[in-house]
Amino acid sequence: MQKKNIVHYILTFFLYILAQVVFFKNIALFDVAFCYIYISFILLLPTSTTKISMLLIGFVLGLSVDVFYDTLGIHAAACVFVAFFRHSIIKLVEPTGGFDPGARPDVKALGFSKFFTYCLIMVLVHHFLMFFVSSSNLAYWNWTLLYIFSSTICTTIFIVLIQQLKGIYYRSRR
Amino acid sequence: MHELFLFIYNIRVVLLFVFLELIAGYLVVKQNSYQRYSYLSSSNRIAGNIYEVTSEIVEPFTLGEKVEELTLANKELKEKLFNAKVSQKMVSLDPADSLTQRYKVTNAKVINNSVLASNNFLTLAVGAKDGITPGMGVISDDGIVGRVKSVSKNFSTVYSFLHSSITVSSQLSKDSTLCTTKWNSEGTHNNYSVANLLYLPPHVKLEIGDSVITSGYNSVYPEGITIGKVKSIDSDPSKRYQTVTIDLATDFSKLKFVYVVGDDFRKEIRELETSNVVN
Repeated sequence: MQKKNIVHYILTFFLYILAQVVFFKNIALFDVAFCYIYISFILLLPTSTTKISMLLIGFVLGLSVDVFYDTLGIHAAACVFVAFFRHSIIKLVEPTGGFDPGARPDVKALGFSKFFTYCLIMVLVHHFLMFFVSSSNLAYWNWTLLYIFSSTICTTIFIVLIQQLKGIYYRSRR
Repeated sequence: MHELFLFIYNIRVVLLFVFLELIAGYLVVKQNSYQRYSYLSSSNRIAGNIYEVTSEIVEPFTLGEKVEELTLANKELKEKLFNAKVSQKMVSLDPADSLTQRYKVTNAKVINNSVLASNNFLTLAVGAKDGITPGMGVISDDGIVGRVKSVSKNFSTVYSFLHSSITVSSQLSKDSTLCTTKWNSEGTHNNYSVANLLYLPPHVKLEIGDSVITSGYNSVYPEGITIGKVKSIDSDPSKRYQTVTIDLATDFSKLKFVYVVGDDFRKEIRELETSNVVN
Protein backbone atom coordinates (compact mmCIF):
# COMPACT_ATOMS: atom_id res chain seq x y z
CA MET A 1 0.00 0.00 0.00
CA GLN A 2 2.79 2.39 0.99
CA LYS A 3 4.78 1.64 -2.14
CA LYS A 4 1.80 2.19 -4.39
CA ASN A 5 1.25 5.53 -2.69
CA ILE A 6 4.78 6.71 -3.39
CA VAL A 7 4.52 5.77 -7.07
CA HIS A 8 1.19 7.60 -7.20
CA TYR A 9 2.72 10.76 -5.74
CA ILE A 10 5.72 10.67 -8.07
CA LEU A 11 3.40 10.33 -11.07
CA THR A 12 1.21 13.19 -9.83
CA PHE A 13 4.32 15.31 -9.35
CA PHE A 14 5.34 14.96 -13.00
CA LEU A 15 1.75 15.33 -14.18
CA TYR A 16 1.38 18.66 -12.39
CA ILE A 17 4.66 20.00 -13.79
CA LEU A 18 3.74 18.86 -17.29
CA ALA A 19 0.26 20.41 -17.06
CA GLN A 20 1.76 23.63 -15.74
CA VAL A 21 4.42 24.13 -18.41
CA VAL A 22 2.49 22.81 -21.38
CA PHE A 23 -0.98 24.18 -20.72
CA PHE A 24 -1.30 26.57 -17.79
CA LYS A 25 1.85 28.53 -18.70
CA ASN A 26 -0.09 29.92 -21.65
CA ILE A 27 -3.02 31.12 -19.58
CA ALA A 28 -3.02 34.83 -18.78
CA LEU A 29 -6.53 36.19 -18.31
CA PHE A 30 -6.71 39.90 -19.21
CA ASP A 31 -2.87 39.86 -19.23
CA VAL A 32 -2.79 40.08 -15.42
CA ALA A 33 -4.18 36.82 -14.02
CA PHE A 34 -1.72 33.94 -14.24
CA CYS A 35 -2.33 30.38 -13.19
CA TYR A 36 0.13 28.28 -11.19
CA ILE A 37 -1.83 25.11 -10.45
CA TYR A 38 1.31 23.06 -9.81
CA ILE A 39 1.33 24.18 -6.16
CA SER A 40 -1.75 22.04 -5.51
CA PHE A 41 0.77 19.20 -5.24
CA ILE A 42 2.04 20.79 -2.02
CA LEU A 43 -1.51 21.61 -0.92
CA LEU A 44 -2.65 18.01 -1.21
CA LEU A 45 0.23 16.10 0.39
CA PRO A 46 -0.97 13.92 3.30
CA THR A 47 -1.20 15.66 6.66
CA SER A 48 1.20 13.07 8.08
CA THR A 49 4.06 14.25 5.84
CA THR A 50 7.01 15.32 7.97
CA LYS A 51 8.03 18.97 7.83
CA ILE A 52 11.50 18.11 6.57
CA SER A 53 10.29 16.14 3.55
CA MET A 54 7.67 18.83 2.96
CA LEU A 55 10.39 21.47 2.57
CA LEU A 56 12.52 19.25 0.32
CA ILE A 57 9.57 18.36 -1.91
CA GLY A 58 8.65 22.05 -2.14
CA PHE A 59 12.18 22.96 -3.14
CA VAL A 60 12.43 20.28 -5.84
CA LEU A 61 8.98 21.14 -7.21
CA GLY A 62 9.74 24.86 -7.36
CA LEU A 63 13.13 24.33 -8.95
CA SER A 64 11.69 22.04 -11.66
CA VAL A 65 9.13 24.69 -12.60
CA ASP A 66 11.87 27.34 -12.51
CA VAL A 67 13.84 25.44 -15.13
CA PHE A 68 10.91 25.61 -17.54
CA TYR A 69 10.11 29.25 -16.78
CA ASP A 70 13.79 30.33 -16.83
CA THR A 71 13.25 32.02 -13.47
CA LEU A 72 15.92 30.23 -11.46
CA GLY A 73 15.12 30.29 -7.74
CA ILE A 74 11.91 32.33 -7.72
CA HIS A 75 9.39 29.47 -7.68
CA ALA A 76 11.69 27.44 -5.45
CA ALA A 77 11.76 30.20 -2.84
CA ALA A 78 7.97 30.62 -2.94
CA CYS A 79 7.32 26.87 -2.74
CA VAL A 80 9.65 26.34 0.23
CA PHE A 81 7.89 29.24 1.92
CA VAL A 82 4.40 27.74 1.51
CA ALA A 83 5.69 24.30 2.44
CA PHE A 84 7.06 25.75 5.68
CA PHE A 85 3.83 27.50 6.65
CA ARG A 86 1.44 24.79 5.45
CA HIS A 87 1.29 23.19 8.87
CA SER A 88 0.16 26.40 10.58
CA ILE A 89 -2.37 27.22 7.85
CA ILE A 90 -3.88 23.73 8.02
CA LYS A 91 -4.42 24.28 11.74
CA LEU A 92 -6.83 27.11 10.86
CA VAL A 93 -9.14 24.91 8.82
CA GLU A 94 -8.70 21.60 10.66
CA PRO A 95 -12.02 19.77 11.12
CA THR A 96 -13.15 19.30 14.73
CA GLY A 97 -11.49 16.19 16.09
CA GLY A 98 -8.54 16.45 13.71
CA PHE A 99 -7.70 14.55 10.54
CA ASP A 100 -7.83 10.78 10.16
CA PRO A 101 -4.30 9.38 10.17
CA GLY A 102 -2.83 9.66 6.67
CA ALA A 103 -5.70 11.77 5.33
CA ARG A 104 -5.12 14.45 2.70
CA PRO A 105 -6.40 17.98 3.24
CA ASP A 106 -8.76 17.74 0.25
CA VAL A 107 -12.41 18.55 -0.40
CA LYS A 108 -13.54 15.23 1.07
CA ALA A 109 -11.77 15.78 4.41
CA LEU A 110 -12.39 19.52 4.78
CA GLY A 111 -15.65 20.22 3.00
CA PHE A 112 -15.95 22.69 0.15
CA SER A 113 -15.85 26.04 1.95
CA LYS A 114 -12.95 25.14 4.24
CA PHE A 115 -10.98 23.67 1.34
CA PHE A 116 -11.57 26.84 -0.67
CA THR A 117 -10.33 29.00 2.23
CA TYR A 118 -7.31 26.76 2.68
CA CYS A 119 -6.44 27.00 -1.04
CA LEU A 120 -6.96 30.75 -1.08
CA ILE A 121 -4.61 31.39 1.85
CA MET A 122 -1.90 29.05 0.57
CA VAL A 123 -2.03 30.41 -2.97
CA LEU A 124 -2.01 33.99 -1.69
CA VAL A 125 1.11 33.32 0.40
CA HIS A 126 2.84 31.67 -2.57
CA HIS A 127 1.95 34.38 -5.08
CA PHE A 128 2.79 37.18 -2.66
CA LEU A 129 6.36 35.96 -2.33
CA MET A 130 6.73 34.95 -5.96
CA PHE A 131 5.54 38.18 -7.56
CA PHE A 132 7.44 40.42 -5.16
CA VAL A 133 10.67 38.48 -5.73
CA SER A 134 10.22 38.52 -9.50
CA SER A 135 9.32 42.21 -9.72
CA SER A 136 12.69 43.89 -9.63
CA ASN A 137 11.36 47.30 -8.66
CA LEU A 138 9.26 48.04 -5.58
CA ALA A 139 8.16 51.41 -6.96
CA TYR A 140 5.33 49.73 -8.85
CA TRP A 141 4.02 47.76 -5.90
CA ASN A 142 0.41 48.55 -6.81
CA TRP A 143 0.78 46.67 -10.09
CA THR A 144 2.47 43.79 -8.34
CA LEU A 145 -0.48 43.67 -5.94
CA LEU A 146 -2.88 43.58 -8.88
CA TYR A 147 -0.94 40.64 -10.33
CA ILE A 148 -0.98 38.90 -6.96
CA PHE A 149 -4.71 39.22 -6.29
CA SER A 150 -5.90 38.45 -9.80
CA SER A 151 -3.56 35.46 -10.10
CA THR A 152 -4.57 34.20 -6.66
CA ILE A 153 -8.22 34.16 -7.70
CA CYS A 154 -7.39 32.52 -11.03
CA THR A 155 -5.15 29.82 -9.54
CA THR A 156 -7.54 29.05 -6.67
CA ILE A 157 -10.51 28.67 -9.01
CA PHE A 158 -8.56 26.30 -11.24
CA ILE A 159 -7.29 24.20 -8.32
CA VAL A 160 -10.75 23.87 -6.76
CA LEU A 161 -12.28 23.14 -10.16
CA ILE A 162 -9.80 20.35 -10.84
CA GLN A 163 -10.47 18.84 -7.40
CA GLN A 164 -14.23 18.96 -8.02
CA LEU A 165 -13.84 17.31 -11.44
CA LYS A 166 -11.66 14.63 -9.89
CA GLY A 167 -14.35 14.06 -7.24
CA ILE A 168 -17.06 13.71 -9.89
CA TYR A 169 -14.87 11.30 -11.88
CA TYR A 170 -14.18 9.03 -8.89
CA ARG A 171 -17.84 9.06 -7.80
CA SER A 172 -19.00 8.08 -11.29
CA ARG A 173 -16.58 5.14 -11.31
CA ARG A 174 -17.86 3.75 -8.06
CA MET B 1 27.46 20.06 24.41
CA HIS B 2 24.73 17.51 24.46
CA GLU B 3 22.16 20.23 24.98
CA LEU B 4 23.52 22.20 22.04
CA PHE B 5 23.04 19.24 19.74
CA LEU B 6 19.58 18.72 21.16
CA PHE B 7 18.78 22.36 20.49
CA ILE B 8 20.01 22.13 16.90
CA TYR B 9 17.98 18.96 16.45
CA ASN B 10 14.90 20.73 17.76
CA ILE B 11 15.14 23.62 15.34
CA ARG B 12 16.18 21.44 12.38
CA VAL B 13 13.06 22.33 10.39
CA VAL B 14 13.69 26.05 10.70
CA LEU B 15 17.36 25.55 9.82
CA LEU B 16 16.49 23.56 6.69
CA PHE B 17 13.91 26.20 5.76
CA VAL B 18 16.44 29.01 6.07
CA PHE B 19 19.04 26.96 4.21
CA LEU B 20 16.74 26.20 1.24
CA GLU B 21 15.55 29.81 1.07
CA LEU B 22 19.16 30.96 1.02
CA ILE B 23 19.94 28.61 -1.87
CA ALA B 24 16.90 29.88 -3.76
CA GLY B 25 17.83 33.48 -3.02
CA TYR B 26 21.39 32.86 -4.19
CA LEU B 27 20.07 31.39 -7.47
CA VAL B 28 17.78 34.41 -7.99
CA VAL B 29 20.59 36.90 -7.43
CA LYS B 30 23.17 34.98 -9.46
CA GLN B 31 20.78 34.11 -12.31
CA ASN B 32 22.66 35.76 -15.09
CA SER B 33 25.97 34.10 -14.30
CA TYR B 34 24.60 30.63 -15.02
CA GLN B 35 24.69 31.13 -18.75
CA ARG B 36 26.89 28.14 -19.38
CA TYR B 37 24.79 25.69 -17.40
CA SER B 38 22.11 25.00 -19.94
CA TYR B 39 20.63 22.18 -17.85
CA LEU B 40 19.34 24.81 -15.44
CA SER B 41 17.36 26.58 -18.16
CA SER B 42 14.65 25.80 -20.69
CA SER B 43 17.24 24.70 -23.23
CA ASN B 44 17.94 21.48 -21.35
CA ARG B 45 17.04 18.23 -23.05
CA ILE B 46 13.82 17.46 -21.18
CA ALA B 47 12.34 20.96 -21.26
CA GLY B 48 13.40 21.47 -24.87
CA ASN B 49 11.79 18.25 -26.03
CA ILE B 50 8.55 18.95 -24.16
CA TYR B 51 8.32 22.43 -25.66
CA GLU B 52 9.16 21.10 -29.11
CA VAL B 53 6.41 18.45 -28.98
CA THR B 54 3.89 21.04 -27.74
CA SER B 55 4.74 23.49 -30.47
CA GLU B 56 4.38 20.73 -33.05
CA ILE B 57 0.87 19.99 -31.77
CA VAL B 58 -0.16 23.65 -31.99
CA GLU B 59 1.63 24.25 -35.28
CA PRO B 60 -1.02 23.06 -37.79
CA PHE B 61 -3.51 25.59 -36.44
CA THR B 62 -1.23 28.54 -37.09
CA LEU B 63 0.28 27.36 -40.35
CA GLY B 64 -1.74 29.59 -42.67
CA GLU B 65 -0.75 32.75 -40.88
CA LYS B 66 2.87 31.64 -40.88
CA VAL B 67 2.95 30.99 -44.63
CA GLU B 68 1.59 34.47 -45.22
CA GLU B 69 4.29 36.01 -43.03
CA LEU B 70 7.01 34.06 -44.77
CA THR B 71 5.81 35.03 -48.24
CA LEU B 72 5.85 38.64 -47.17
CA ALA B 73 9.37 38.31 -45.78
CA ASN B 74 10.45 36.56 -48.96
CA LYS B 75 9.03 39.38 -51.04
CA GLU B 76 11.00 41.95 -49.10
CA LEU B 77 14.20 39.94 -49.40
CA LYS B 78 13.73 39.61 -53.16
CA GLU B 79 13.28 43.36 -53.44
CA LYS B 80 16.46 43.90 -51.46
CA LEU B 81 18.34 41.39 -53.59
CA PHE B 82 17.28 43.00 -56.87
CA ASN B 83 18.14 46.46 -55.61
CA ALA B 84 21.51 45.25 -54.41
CA LYS B 85 22.27 43.84 -57.85
CA VAL B 86 21.37 47.14 -59.45
CA SER B 87 23.63 49.14 -57.17
CA GLN B 88 26.45 46.70 -57.70
CA LYS B 89 26.28 47.20 -61.43
CA MET B 90 26.28 50.97 -61.10
CA VAL B 91 29.16 51.24 -58.65
CA SER B 92 31.65 48.46 -59.10
CA LEU B 93 32.35 47.53 -55.52
CA ASP B 94 35.62 46.09 -54.29
CA PRO B 95 35.37 42.33 -53.93
CA ALA B 96 35.32 42.64 -50.14
CA ASP B 97 34.34 39.02 -49.71
CA SER B 98 35.61 38.74 -46.18
CA LEU B 99 33.27 41.53 -45.18
CA THR B 100 30.18 40.05 -46.80
CA GLN B 101 30.92 36.77 -45.06
CA ARG B 102 31.15 38.40 -41.66
CA TYR B 103 27.71 37.32 -40.47
CA LYS B 104 26.38 33.78 -40.47
CA VAL B 105 22.61 33.38 -40.26
CA THR B 106 20.84 30.30 -38.90
CA ASN B 107 17.08 30.00 -39.16
CA ALA B 108 15.36 28.70 -36.04
CA LYS B 109 11.91 27.74 -34.81
CA VAL B 110 10.57 29.28 -31.61
CA ILE B 111 9.24 26.50 -29.38
CA ASN B 112 8.61 28.51 -26.22
CA ASN B 113 8.03 32.20 -25.72
CA SER B 114 6.77 34.53 -23.02
CA VAL B 115 5.91 38.22 -23.16
CA LEU B 116 3.98 39.02 -19.98
CA ALA B 117 6.65 38.56 -17.30
CA SER B 118 9.10 41.30 -16.40
CA ASN B 119 11.95 39.05 -17.57
CA ASN B 120 11.06 37.10 -20.69
CA PHE B 121 12.82 34.25 -22.46
CA LEU B 122 12.46 32.24 -25.65
CA THR B 123 13.48 28.69 -26.39
CA LEU B 124 14.67 27.84 -29.90
CA ALA B 125 14.93 24.44 -31.55
CA VAL B 126 18.53 25.00 -32.59
CA GLY B 127 21.60 24.36 -30.47
CA ALA B 128 25.32 23.80 -30.32
CA LYS B 129 25.18 21.30 -33.16
CA ASP B 130 23.91 24.08 -35.45
CA GLY B 131 26.78 26.31 -34.43
CA ILE B 132 24.90 28.46 -31.92
CA THR B 133 26.95 29.98 -29.09
CA PRO B 134 25.90 32.20 -26.17
CA GLY B 135 25.96 35.90 -26.99
CA MET B 136 24.71 35.65 -30.59
CA GLY B 137 21.97 38.01 -31.70
CA VAL B 138 18.46 36.85 -32.61
CA ILE B 139 16.32 38.75 -35.14
CA SER B 140 13.00 38.17 -36.86
CA ASP B 141 11.76 39.35 -40.23
CA ASP B 142 10.44 42.52 -38.60
CA GLY B 143 13.25 43.47 -36.23
CA ILE B 144 15.33 42.52 -33.23
CA VAL B 145 14.31 39.68 -30.89
CA GLY B 146 17.06 39.09 -28.33
CA ARG B 147 20.38 37.52 -27.43
CA VAL B 148 21.31 33.86 -26.88
CA LYS B 149 21.70 33.06 -23.19
CA SER B 150 22.64 29.40 -23.01
CA VAL B 151 22.96 26.53 -25.43
CA SER B 152 22.57 22.77 -25.20
CA LYS B 153 23.15 20.25 -27.98
CA ASN B 154 19.75 20.72 -29.63
CA PHE B 155 18.16 23.75 -27.98
CA SER B 156 18.99 27.25 -26.90
CA THR B 157 17.52 29.70 -24.40
CA VAL B 158 17.34 33.31 -25.54
CA TYR B 159 17.00 36.50 -23.52
CA SER B 160 14.07 38.23 -25.13
CA PHE B 161 14.55 41.95 -25.77
CA LEU B 162 11.74 42.09 -23.19
CA HIS B 163 14.18 41.41 -20.34
CA SER B 164 15.23 43.90 -17.70
CA SER B 165 18.96 43.39 -18.26
CA ILE B 166 19.00 43.75 -22.06
CA THR B 167 20.05 47.02 -23.67
CA VAL B 168 20.62 47.45 -27.40
CA SER B 169 23.09 49.88 -28.88
CA SER B 170 21.06 51.73 -31.50
CA GLN B 171 20.99 54.76 -33.76
CA LEU B 172 18.48 57.01 -35.51
CA SER B 173 18.37 55.94 -39.12
CA LYS B 174 18.08 59.52 -40.44
CA ASP B 175 21.29 60.95 -38.95
CA SER B 176 23.01 58.03 -37.16
CA THR B 177 22.76 59.64 -33.70
CA LEU B 178 23.75 56.97 -31.20
CA CYS B 179 21.40 56.00 -28.40
CA THR B 180 20.46 52.98 -26.32
CA THR B 181 17.17 51.12 -26.49
CA LYS B 182 15.78 49.38 -23.45
CA TRP B 183 12.46 47.80 -22.58
CA ASN B 184 10.87 49.58 -19.64
CA SER B 185 8.89 46.77 -18.04
CA GLU B 186 7.94 48.62 -14.86
CA GLY B 187 7.01 51.97 -16.35
CA THR B 188 4.77 50.44 -19.00
CA HIS B 189 3.50 47.51 -16.93
CA ASN B 190 4.98 44.80 -19.13
CA ASN B 191 3.64 46.28 -22.35
CA TYR B 192 5.47 44.24 -24.98
CA SER B 193 4.97 46.65 -27.88
CA VAL B 194 6.86 49.71 -26.61
CA ALA B 195 10.41 50.51 -25.44
CA ASN B 196 12.44 53.57 -24.44
CA LEU B 197 15.38 55.38 -26.01
CA LEU B 198 17.96 56.28 -23.40
CA TYR B 199 20.74 58.86 -23.34
CA LEU B 200 19.41 61.16 -26.06
CA PRO B 201 20.49 64.72 -25.15
CA PRO B 202 17.87 67.48 -25.60
CA HIS B 203 19.62 69.07 -28.57
CA VAL B 204 18.87 66.07 -30.79
CA LYS B 205 15.79 66.95 -32.84
CA LEU B 206 13.39 64.05 -33.16
CA GLU B 207 10.11 63.62 -34.94
CA ILE B 208 7.35 61.15 -34.33
CA GLY B 209 7.74 58.30 -36.81
CA ASP B 210 11.54 58.45 -37.03
CA SER B 211 12.87 54.93 -37.28
CA VAL B 212 15.43 53.48 -34.91
CA ILE B 213 17.88 50.81 -36.05
CA THR B 214 20.76 48.88 -34.50
CA SER B 215 24.18 50.50 -34.57
CA GLY B 216 26.20 47.32 -34.78
CA TYR B 217 28.56 48.58 -32.09
CA ASN B 218 28.01 45.90 -29.47
CA SER B 219 28.64 43.13 -32.05
CA VAL B 220 25.44 41.29 -31.13
CA TYR B 221 23.36 42.51 -34.07
CA PRO B 222 24.58 43.60 -37.48
CA GLU B 223 24.14 47.28 -38.29
CA GLY B 224 20.78 48.42 -39.62
CA ILE B 225 18.31 45.95 -38.12
CA THR B 226 14.99 47.67 -37.44
CA ILE B 227 14.07 48.22 -33.80
CA GLY B 228 11.04 50.47 -34.07
CA LYS B 229 9.55 53.88 -34.71
CA VAL B 230 9.40 56.87 -32.38
CA LYS B 231 5.99 57.05 -30.75
CA SER B 232 6.21 59.96 -28.32
CA ILE B 233 8.79 62.52 -27.25
CA ASP B 234 8.98 64.36 -23.96
CA SER B 235 11.84 66.84 -24.16
CA ASP B 236 11.98 68.72 -20.89
CA PRO B 237 14.93 71.16 -21.21
CA SER B 238 15.66 70.95 -17.50
CA LYS B 239 16.46 67.25 -17.78
CA ARG B 240 19.72 65.88 -19.10
CA TYR B 241 18.08 63.47 -21.50
CA GLN B 242 14.85 63.33 -23.45
CA THR B 243 12.22 60.73 -22.61
CA VAL B 244 11.47 58.97 -25.88
CA THR B 245 9.08 56.06 -26.34
CA ILE B 246 9.23 53.88 -29.44
CA ASP B 247 6.87 51.33 -30.94
CA LEU B 248 8.71 48.04 -31.38
CA ALA B 249 8.71 46.66 -34.91
CA THR B 250 8.68 43.04 -33.74
CA ASP B 251 5.40 41.61 -32.49
CA PHE B 252 6.84 39.49 -29.68
CA SER B 253 3.58 37.69 -29.00
CA LYS B 254 3.56 36.16 -32.48
CA LEU B 255 7.14 34.98 -32.95
CA LYS B 256 7.33 31.69 -34.84
CA PHE B 257 10.47 31.77 -36.96
CA VAL B 258 13.58 33.75 -36.13
CA TYR B 259 17.18 34.02 -37.33
CA VAL B 260 20.25 33.63 -35.16
CA VAL B 261 23.07 35.87 -36.36
CA GLY B 262 26.65 34.91 -35.60
CA ASP B 263 29.40 37.50 -35.98
CA ASP B 264 32.71 36.00 -37.10
CA PHE B 265 34.56 39.12 -35.96
CA ARG B 266 33.00 39.13 -32.52
CA LYS B 267 35.82 37.27 -30.82
CA GLU B 268 38.46 39.39 -32.46
CA ILE B 269 36.67 42.63 -31.53
CA ARG B 270 36.23 41.47 -27.95
CA GLU B 271 39.89 40.53 -27.64
CA LEU B 272 40.98 43.87 -29.00
CA GLU B 273 38.66 45.74 -26.65
CA THR B 274 39.80 43.84 -23.57
CA SER B 275 43.47 44.28 -24.50
CA ASN B 276 42.83 48.03 -24.68
CA VAL B 277 41.38 47.96 -21.20
CA VAL B 278 44.39 46.09 -19.82
CA ASN B 279 46.96 48.45 -21.32
